[in-house]
Amino acid sequence: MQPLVSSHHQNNDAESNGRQDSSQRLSQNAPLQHLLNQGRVWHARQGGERSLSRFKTQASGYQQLDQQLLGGGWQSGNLVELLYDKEGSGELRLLLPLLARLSKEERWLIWVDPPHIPYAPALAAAGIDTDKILMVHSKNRHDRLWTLEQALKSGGCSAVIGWLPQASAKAVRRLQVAAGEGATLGFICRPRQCQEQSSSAPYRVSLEPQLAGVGVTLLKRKNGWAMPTQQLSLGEDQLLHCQQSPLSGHNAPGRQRSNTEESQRPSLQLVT
Amino acid sequence: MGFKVSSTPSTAKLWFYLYFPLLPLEMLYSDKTLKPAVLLDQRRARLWLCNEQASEQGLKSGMAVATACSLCPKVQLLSRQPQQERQQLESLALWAGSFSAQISLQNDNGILLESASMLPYFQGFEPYHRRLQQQLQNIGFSSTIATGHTPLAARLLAHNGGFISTEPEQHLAQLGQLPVAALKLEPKTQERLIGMGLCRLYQLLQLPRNELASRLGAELLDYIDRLRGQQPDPQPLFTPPLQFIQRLDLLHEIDNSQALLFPLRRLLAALEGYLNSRQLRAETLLLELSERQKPDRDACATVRLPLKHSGGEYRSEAWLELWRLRLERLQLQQPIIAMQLSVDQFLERQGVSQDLFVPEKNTQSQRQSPQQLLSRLQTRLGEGAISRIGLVADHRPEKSWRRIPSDQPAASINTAATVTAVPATTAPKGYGAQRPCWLLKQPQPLPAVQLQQQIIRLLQGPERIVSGWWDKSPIRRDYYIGRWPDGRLGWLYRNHQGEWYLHGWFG
Repeated sequence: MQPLVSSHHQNNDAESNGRQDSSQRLSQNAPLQHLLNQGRVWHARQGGERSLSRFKTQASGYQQLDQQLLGGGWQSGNLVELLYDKEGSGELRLLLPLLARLSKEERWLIWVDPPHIPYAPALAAAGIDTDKILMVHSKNRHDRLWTLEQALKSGGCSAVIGWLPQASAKAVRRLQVAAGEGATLGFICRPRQCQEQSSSAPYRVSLEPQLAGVGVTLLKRKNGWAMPTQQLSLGEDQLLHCQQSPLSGHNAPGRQRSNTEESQRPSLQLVT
Repeated sequence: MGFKVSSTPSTAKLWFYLYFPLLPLEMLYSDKTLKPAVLLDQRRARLWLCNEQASEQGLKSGMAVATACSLCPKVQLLSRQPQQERQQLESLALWAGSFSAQISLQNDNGILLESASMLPYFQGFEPYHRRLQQQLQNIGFSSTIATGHTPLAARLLAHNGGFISTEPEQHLAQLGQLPVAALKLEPKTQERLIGMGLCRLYQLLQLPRNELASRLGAELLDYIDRLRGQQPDPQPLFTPPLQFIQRLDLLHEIDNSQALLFPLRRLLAALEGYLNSRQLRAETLLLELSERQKPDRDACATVRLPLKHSGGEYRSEAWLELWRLRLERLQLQQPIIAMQLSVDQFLERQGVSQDLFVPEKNTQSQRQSPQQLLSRLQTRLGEGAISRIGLVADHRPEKSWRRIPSDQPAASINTAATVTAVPATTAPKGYGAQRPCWLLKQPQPLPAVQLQQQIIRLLQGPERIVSGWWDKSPIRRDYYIGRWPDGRLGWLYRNHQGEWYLHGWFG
């Protein structure tokens, strides 16, 4: 009989070995278990485990998408490739809930060469602390890749978002290595033509705006096959929620309140 | 060798002696040279010091210059710079500030460190010794280090090959093996000792004290007492200067900016020790490079390079990395003959608490702080390339945000936040959700046809924004959210003249 280290293991074993066996084990370790339950024994492993499993998963905030990702989200220390044709394809809305959560950390959210102005009021409304956003405008491709690599590697960023209109497979591989070193989650936005090329990014997401919502396809994901296209609203329903009466009273206080409340927890709905 | 230590006043005494035998020669190197080089004596007639490569060629100190040149024609002949030797030693003493609070400069190119009181801060003797050796290697001077229970013991051992131990008994045992000649006594005394058959130090140490005093004089007794630690041996202590300014005259002109890193490394090592001993961080460093005098000018021009670290830093490696990035961007017009490093701005050091249960290995590979990352990016890309965004209390969409330079201190960001706290109540917060994540740098005109034919379908609006009548850019616009034929959502407006513009994308 193997020694039991923590209550966590014990529960697992108990489930697998059947009730009788588990009750026997429990009785053997009753004094320890008792102390653990009382919270008098502090688990050193709790801190240690955190540092051992360096790669946390970061939920995207969209339940339907998270279900398709192992561990319920993007695994940090990896690159996520966002492939779309033009800005406005839902590329930022996909990230907003995650960025809002990450901006609580005392680290940068770094944006390297965004094609337009990241609009602070909209980002703030999505719950992002704009003080954490660092925008970098590089002069050339070389500097851009350098910046991305440094940002990913340093661990000083909670997320790195970069726009790479053109990047070789080799550059992406380097960035993936850097992301692993710094245990940082990186998003790189690339044109959709790159879909055909192979890429070392463990996650590849294609975004296709549709007449209602955005078609999100996981072309590649960690520990899984590619998934069929899902149509996600990405907060569109809240954006257009006063569609029925567009011309009257959209700043009525009651409605406004409900609006902000909803915007803080973007829900994902299947648009049919 | 069975002698006893009668009474050591305090067993907790431990001194480190760092002996730099080739310092006068090696300080003249301008890079990691592996060529044979020798230092000449004052009269420039004979060799005084030879580096390893020169010794391999058969050169020895005391040899005539002509002989040396015939043995090894490629040898580099350097002459002594006595003033700079002292400066260099002081710079090393600054560096040693990381390792001891009591530092004494010795006349024989050595530094004496009182270490016993420092060991607890380094988690014991072994880590202390390891760190010391690591840093010595980085500095690039050949050195011999020795420990001793007294300053004199450490010094003698360092001069005779070095010895590392923590026990006074072992020090004395090792010292006992030294020949009497190693003591550097007066020739007359030395002759007498050898005449008496006392060749090794332990023989001398075994003799009764009063006999020694009566036969060989009180001076020798005093020496031996200091060696054993039975007499106090106060050392003149080095006081670091109030201001950190280190100047280095380069023997060779440097015309490649990357080559400046080699001498800079030593200056930064001194800086680290200086900052450690004062528990400070440097925020801004100033490097002044003196250019070679141009024939048509009277004075030497100086290139001034300030370098800022946005959180303050004390580790020389981090500063070296930043300087590497900074010097990459530097184009030298003229060769550099001297450099000077000074600190412009100090910051207090904050204590960092470490995780008790995370082993030291993990903290070594610790992550860079966000501030460090910012400094790196600023140094390499220039400050203009990096910015932050903030909110502004204005209803006009293009004025409701602003770009904040990245070097702006955090305090002003806080005030910006208080400014935005006002519009949070006045400006409708719910509108934020109705705003696009992307704002175009310039509103982009849209042909009215697209809207008339419903190619762009308006889904929501209008939201009228009339503002800015008090300044030069008033606006009167009706904003809509529209869907493009490809499904994207855009933020568009019609101005008071009925023209349509695209202003943002719901990215």
